This record gives sequence, structure tokens and C-alpha cells, in this order.
Amino acid sequence: MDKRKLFFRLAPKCLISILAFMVVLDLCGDSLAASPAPATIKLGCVNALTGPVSIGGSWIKQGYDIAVKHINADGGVFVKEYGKKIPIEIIYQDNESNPRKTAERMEKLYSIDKVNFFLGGFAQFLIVPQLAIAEKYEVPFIGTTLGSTAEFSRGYKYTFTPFQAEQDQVISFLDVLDSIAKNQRPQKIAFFEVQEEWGEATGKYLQQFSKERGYQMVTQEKYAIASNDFSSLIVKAKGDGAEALYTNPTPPQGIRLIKQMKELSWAPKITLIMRAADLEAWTQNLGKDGDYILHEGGWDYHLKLPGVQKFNEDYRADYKLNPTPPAGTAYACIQIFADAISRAGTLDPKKVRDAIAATNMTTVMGPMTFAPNGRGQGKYLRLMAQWQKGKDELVWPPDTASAPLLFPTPPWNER
Amino acid sequence: MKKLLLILLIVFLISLPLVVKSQYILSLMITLFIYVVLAESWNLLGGYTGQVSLGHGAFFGVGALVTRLLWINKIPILLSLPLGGIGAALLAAIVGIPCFRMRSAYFPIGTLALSMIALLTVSNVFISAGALSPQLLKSYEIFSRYYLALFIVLLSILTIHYLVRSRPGLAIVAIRDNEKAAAAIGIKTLKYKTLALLTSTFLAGLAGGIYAYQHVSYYYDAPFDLTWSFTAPLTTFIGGISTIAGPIVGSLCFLALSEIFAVTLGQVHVLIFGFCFILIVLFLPGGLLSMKTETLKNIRKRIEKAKVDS
Repeated sequence: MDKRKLFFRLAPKCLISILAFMVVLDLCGDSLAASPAPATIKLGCVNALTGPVSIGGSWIKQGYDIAVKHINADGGVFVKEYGKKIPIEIIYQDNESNPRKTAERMEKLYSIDKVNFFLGGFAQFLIVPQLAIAEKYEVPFIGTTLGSTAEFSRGYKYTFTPFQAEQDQVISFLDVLDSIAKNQRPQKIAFFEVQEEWGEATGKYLQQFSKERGYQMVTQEKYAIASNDFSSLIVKAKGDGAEALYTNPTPPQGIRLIKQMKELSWAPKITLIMRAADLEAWTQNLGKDGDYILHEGGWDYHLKLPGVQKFNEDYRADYKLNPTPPAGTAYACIQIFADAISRAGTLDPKKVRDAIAATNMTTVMGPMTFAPNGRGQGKYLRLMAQWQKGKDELVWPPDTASAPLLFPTPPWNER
Repeated sequence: MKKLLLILLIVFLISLPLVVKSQYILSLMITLFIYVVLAESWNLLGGYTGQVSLGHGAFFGVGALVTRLLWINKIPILLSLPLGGIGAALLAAIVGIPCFRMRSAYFPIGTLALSMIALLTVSNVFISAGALSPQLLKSYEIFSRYYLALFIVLLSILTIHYLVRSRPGLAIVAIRDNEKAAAAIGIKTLKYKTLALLTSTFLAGLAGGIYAYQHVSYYYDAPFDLTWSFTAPLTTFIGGISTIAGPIVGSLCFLALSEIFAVTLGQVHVLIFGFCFILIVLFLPGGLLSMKTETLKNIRKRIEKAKVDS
């Protein structure tokens, strides 16, 4: 048979076969979704499992996995519509710490994996592109480390988070300052602003709230997310007579910042290092130089709240570490979903969305409700921890503190 | 035979959304179309004209930025999209043409610097994500995006196909083969290089515009990411440089590899892709399209060697 005839016979068949394959792939998903009583409740999570922020992604995954283990140990979540308990299953997709991949993976979770609901992964810059996808498909989304106020001003109806807002972070810092005796209280604040959405918003709120409370923001300097040299910022703050420092660097930046502060012999009376000081590696890398540093991640394993002890024990047994703040928030997200599904009595996304909005329960983050914009309203969202002799202690609020605040930070040559 | 295959392929692509309703698959197809347009646009400049650009991410990004800002401010997409392309071509006219003064390796380095400057500028100016409003999300549907992207693919392929076969196209190829000789026989090299640059960047801008129209939420600096600058030449080399079909084949392989391996192996897929790229460069320097001729050539060589040995 000549080549031309062979081509005319094969080409249409090949194209029809490809088309048929894609239709089958399409229908496979539909047939799964049409099942009357699903084997599991599928929660889809696009998370940083590889890439630069995968360490944070692993914390979130650990929190989710322990929560699912606890709920499934009782048979799962009771769904009235099916008259039985259904276990929870989380389907993870890796965004490779790349915000561009996040949206693509969300599409896959919805269209191919047919997930019932969405869970957030780690890092705000990776979570933000997920929100519009959840809104587009009208599927409830509960996110973890999502402090952004701007994202909750878009008018989205399907986005929720129990996490603290940027304002909460600033307020708890100022609350701690207010708790210090007036004659010793630092008055001059320096803010080193990392150039990302979070840094910009924090700077705006710190400027506003510190002025309202009578503090002076004497230094506000910016640095790039990849910056390694903070010496000019330190010299400026030192020259301005700043007594308190607030900043939110990445973990490697935070460690370099402290080392450079020591080299330049600048020890403000109080220092809050968001994000970087949340890690256990903080004290391993800095030793006693990491002491006195404040940090807050929206949750703390010292909290004396229902469920926290069990979570801590299982977490330590599985991962040989104390639970990190994002892991605690992740655990609470699953608790909220389970409670909302149970109250809704169905897996219908709209009804579950309404049930989440009406949440009024106690999680490992304490009592939790949601504001109309989807932002969590918790009693224990404004926390403050401090590294003391290599140990992480909760120092704020006083009713749940594990240790008193160590103040003031002594000069470097007196430690 | 080629024409019939082409018609069948176009019929297949047009009918796809009528049978496949999965948003994910259609979304992947749009991503494929974006890769194809970007690679074809790069191929015109890098493959046919011999001006290896590592700055196509900047033109792609400008196209995306202009289209997005106009479209979310209620300018119809059919107007925003070409304006995005014009924006990219304008940037090329301002910055790219002076880059032509750079010789040998300095042109790629200059365009790479442009790409990095564009990325840094946009990431510092537009800090927040560009998410659609709830109203725009309600009216979002994938089909119009799919057909618009398909139209842009066909437009870019036809444009390049006819351009390289026209008189200016012959001049462009002559410049690639030997710029000094081309100038010596009276070809205005700067004029034709500029024509290739403006056409190429306009198409890259259109690809960026499709990206902006497809995605419901992304950070404004995402289309300026340096990976776009490298994806275009990579896919072209994999498929076959200086051919129309090469960028299509390369884009298809790139997407298939990155999707299959990325979903299961995360960032390891970059290593796998890099390894495949090295193998292709070593054993198939003409890209996957040259596989048949290269294989035949190797077989002939072995037969001849066997004859000599015996």
C-alpha cells in the first residue's frame, strides 16, 4: 500500500481515537462525581511540597494529616444526606512554591480529581491566586496563613480563614509594648519593610496604630525579598534612636539580620521578627543570639485549649518536633470543615459555604466565628511568643502565657 | 497530504470543546496555544533571523500587563488584546532596536537584561495580585478563551508562514546566514531585522494577552518571570528551529512532560526536562522533527561501516 493511502486511512482514525480518549477522560470524572454516596469527602489542597518554601508546606500538610487522622479514627464526618459517616481524604497537588502553578493545579483538582472543597497551602503569595478559582467554581475554600486584608475586601463569598489578619499582628505587638511599665516602655519604633504585599500592609497598619497609641515610628526602610545586607537599615535605625524593631523577613534573612545587628552592636529593647523566628531552626542557627526575639504565627502549642494537648502529642510522636504555628492553623481548618459539613448535612458546596459562614465552635485556635467577609474572629488570634534560653515560650496574652516577657533585651556584650 | 492533515487538525481543535467539557483539559489546551504562539514568535527572531533573544518574557509580560489592565477596566478583549501586542512591539522598538547594535553573545545578554529589568520593575510597582472581581468571575467561561487562543495560534502560524516565504522573509533568512554578505548585496539589514523583531514581539504580546485573559488571578509579575524567556527557545530547539512545525511539536512535548512529571514528581520534572533537552541537543540537533532523517542517516552510516569492515 502506498504511503498516501496509508495516511488517508490512519490519520482520521488517530484523530478520532485521541478525541475519544479525551471524552473518556472527561466522562471518568463525571461518573465519579455522580456517585450517590461518595467513599470519601475529598478536600483538594494545592501546597508547596517542593521548592523554596516547601518547609512551610510540610508544616501545613502535617497539621492537615493529623486532623484527618483524628476525624477518620471516629469513622469520619456524619453527613445526614447519606445517613452515615464519611471519611475525609485530602488530595494534594504540588505548586513547586510557584504562584503560577497554583492556579493550574487548582483547575486539575476541580476538573479531574472532582474535589468537594478546597484547602489552602502555605505562604500567602501562593494562596492568593487560589482564591479567585474557588470563587469561580463557587466551592468553599479555607486557607491557613492568609493574613491579607486586601484579599478579604474583594467581595468573595467562598473564601474563609481562621488565621490572624495583618492588623492582629500589629495590634498584639503594640499590646505587648503597652504592657511594659511606662518609664521603661520603648517609644521609638523601627520598621524594616520586606517588599511584598504583606510587608507593605504591615507598614501601613504599624504607622497608623502606633501613632494612635502615642508611639513614634522613627525608621521605615524597605528591603528586597532576596536581600542579604541589612547594614544600612541597621545603621539608620541606630542613628534614629529606635528602641523597638518590627520586621517580617524570610528565615535566612532573619538569621542574617540578627548576625549583622550583633556585628554592628545594635540591640533594641524589644525585637519582633515575624515568619523567620517561627522556625525551630532559629535557635539551632543562632544559639543564645536568638534569645529575647519575639515572634507570632497565629497559633502556639502552649495554648491551653481543648484538643491542643492531643494534637501536640500526636504531632511530636509523628514528627519529633513541637507543632509549628501553621500546623495548628491547618488543624483548625479541618475542624471547621468537618463541623460545617456535619451541620450542613450535605456536600452541596453552597450549603457548606453557608454553614462555614455560620461557624460558632471551639477549635485548637480557641472559639471561632467568621466575619461576613470570611475572616476568622477568634479570641486567641493575637499571640506573642519569645525565644528564652533556646526555648520557645508563649508570653502573650497573659492568661495563656507559658512564661513572662523577658524585657529589656540586654546589650550584646552583656549576654 | 500535509494540507489534509492540517485541515483535520484544525477540525479536531475546533470540535474539541464541543465534546470535552473539562475545564482543566481546555485550560491546558489554552496553555499549549500560549506556548506555541510564544515559541513561534521566538522562532521568527531567533530561528529565521538568527537574533537569539533571551528577553521574550519581557514582551510576553508587557502584552499580558497591557491587555489585563485594559480588559479589567472594561475595554473589550478584542481591542485590549491587539493593544497588548502593540505595547510589546512598542517596547521592542524603544529598547530592542538599540540592542541590534550589540553583536554575537551581547544581543542575548542585552535582551536577558531587559527581561530582568522588566521583572524587577513590575514586581515592585504591582505588589498585589490582579484577581478578577466577583462580577467578572461570574461571567467567566472557558470556550470563548479557547477559541480566541486558537485563532491567535492560527494567526501567528499563518503570519510567519507567509512572511518567511515573502521577499522580506528571504532577506531575513539571508541576514541569518551571513549578515555582512547580505548587506554587501544591498539588503537593508537593520530594516529587515526590525521587521522581524516587531512582528515577533507583537505575537509574543498577543500570547501574553491570552495569558491575561485566561487566568482569573495572578501576580502581575508572573508573566514577566524569566522562565517564559527560556521556555520559548527551549521548546523551539526541542521541536526544531527554523521550522513552522518545530515550535508546535516542542510545545506539545514541553507541556506533556511538565504536566505528567510535575503532577507526580514536583520540581523533579525540571531535572527530567533538562536531561531530555541535553539528549535532544546531543543526538538530534535539528530537534524532534529531524528524528526521521537523523535515524535514517545513522542507519546508512552503520550499514556503510559494516560493509567497509566486512
